[in-house]
Amino acid sequence: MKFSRTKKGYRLEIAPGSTIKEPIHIVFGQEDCDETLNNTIIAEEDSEITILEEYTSNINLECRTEMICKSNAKINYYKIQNQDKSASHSAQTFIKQSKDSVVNHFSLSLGGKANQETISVSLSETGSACQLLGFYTLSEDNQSSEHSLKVDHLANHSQSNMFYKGILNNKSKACFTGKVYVHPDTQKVEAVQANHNLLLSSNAEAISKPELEIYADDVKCKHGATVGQLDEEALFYLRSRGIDEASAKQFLLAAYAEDVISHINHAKAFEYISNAVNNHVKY
Amino acid sequence: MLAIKNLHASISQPILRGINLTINPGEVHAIMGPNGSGKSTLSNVLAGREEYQVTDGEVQLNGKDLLSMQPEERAAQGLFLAFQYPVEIPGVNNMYFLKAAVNSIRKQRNLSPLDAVDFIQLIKSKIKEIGFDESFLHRAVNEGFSGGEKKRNEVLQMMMLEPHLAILDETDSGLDIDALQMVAKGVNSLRDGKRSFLVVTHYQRLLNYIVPDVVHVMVQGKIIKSGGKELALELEEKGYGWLEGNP
Ligand SMILES: Nc1ncnc2c1ncn2[C@@H]1O[C@H](COP(=O)(O)OP(=O)(O)OP(=O)(O)O)[C@@H](O)[C@H]1O
Ligand SMILES: [Mg+2]
Repeated sequence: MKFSRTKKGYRLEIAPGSTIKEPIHIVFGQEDCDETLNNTIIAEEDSEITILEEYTSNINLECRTEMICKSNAKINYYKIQNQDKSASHSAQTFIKQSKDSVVNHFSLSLGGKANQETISVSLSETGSACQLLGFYTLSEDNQSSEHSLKVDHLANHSQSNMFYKGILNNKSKACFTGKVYVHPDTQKVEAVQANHNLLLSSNAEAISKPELEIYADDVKCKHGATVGQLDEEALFYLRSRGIDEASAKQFLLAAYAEDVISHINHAKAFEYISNAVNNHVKY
Repeated sequence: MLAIKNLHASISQPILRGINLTINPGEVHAIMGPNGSGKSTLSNVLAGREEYQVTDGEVQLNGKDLLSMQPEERAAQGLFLAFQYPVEIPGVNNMYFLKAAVNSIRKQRNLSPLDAVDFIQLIKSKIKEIGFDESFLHRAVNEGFSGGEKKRNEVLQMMMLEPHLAILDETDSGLDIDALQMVAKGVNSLRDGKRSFLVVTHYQRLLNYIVPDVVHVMVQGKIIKSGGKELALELEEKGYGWLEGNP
């Protein structure tokens, strides 16, 4: 593995055939970064890497990340954005995948003010698959997030799965756009997308926009979006068993998040992210 | 134990229209009555469901004003409702939930929390008692449980929380014969001369296993007749028509 890092970002290259099980933990804290970051991750053939990237700074950040996942390689990328609520986070990620490669991208957004995330994936060769998972919480008036995901299915047997959930309180706003583009003459493509939002306040607003452009026939495609409130009946059930209202709400919010987080199959990353969520999602 | 006086409650329209009911420590009371007569409404009002407005009357549990308490305080004071339709809560682990419930009630009663080992020991002995499979503890609360499994899960919770007054709202509906006997066994094991039960049922059969001290008939939000356990047999035979005619 080759790893170099400056205040302007990092570059990570993993050699063909090598597997690194332990997550590489990279933190961008106060002192560690400029306002503009450029990160590059290259996974060579048959390699596997797990990255846990964490943002905790209190300045506005712009990050550009490029991931190249070569044949039969696997990148597990988990990002925790926990910036100060006065600082905005803007991220652009470009992912290029070759034959039978897998990218698991997870984005946890806990802090920040006006957050933007754009992810663009090219499934350029047969059998490539990506999973784009996300969980966000917005708790302040005028806090906002905008997730724009795009997957280009350029090859046969390519698969994509977008699954984002969020909890919104007060006058916050979330926008999710999931774009799936299936190019002509690509066969046996599977594309799934879902975005669910839980509104804790009637002032909060969530918008979901699926954009499906499918120019091939043999395609399995599903999408779904919901906006809901805390389940009053479930809340009463918990309280009727002696659990106080605040804890009961906490249970339900954690369960809401768990639905996405449980898809993280790297045990250590799962534990780290679950803790981050449970410490943060307070009613 | 429980004293209900002239209780009126409504949800968009009046449902309970003057309920009077006193249950003494150690007694088992059964409530029977036609569909829609208000049995579940009464159960829910007692448990503290805010959807229902109490428009008149009062309720005391062990001498304390029940209606002014939050649902969780009522539980801590020893009230338990086994729901007619237990809700599914995806993502909340059944065992984790039960531990939180037990310890939350212990805390409100100024008892120290059970640690993981004590808790697991306790719950294992209880699930054995009612013949519930351990695998249900590792699933989300009621999620995907069959009708009967949900009812058993309610009984398990009751056994764990050891309430002073347990209300069983049609816990026998949807249970197979073995399960029915298990439920009855669970209830009877808790009968200690002090603990009281309010059993809502449509079937006299349950009352063969859980023998009531008093049987009440509720019609249109009122208790129109009360009697001994023979009343249940009479209802089974004649239905409710003869009563409604001469309330
Ligand atoms: N949330 C609600 N909204 C509107 N009406 C309600 C609500 N809950 C209960 N009711 C009405 O109140 C009446 C009493 O209902 P309840 O569930 O208490 O009856 P029940 O005696 O338990 O009937 P069953 O034997 O079928 O369980 C019914 O007419 C029902 O439709
Ligand atoms: Mg009912």
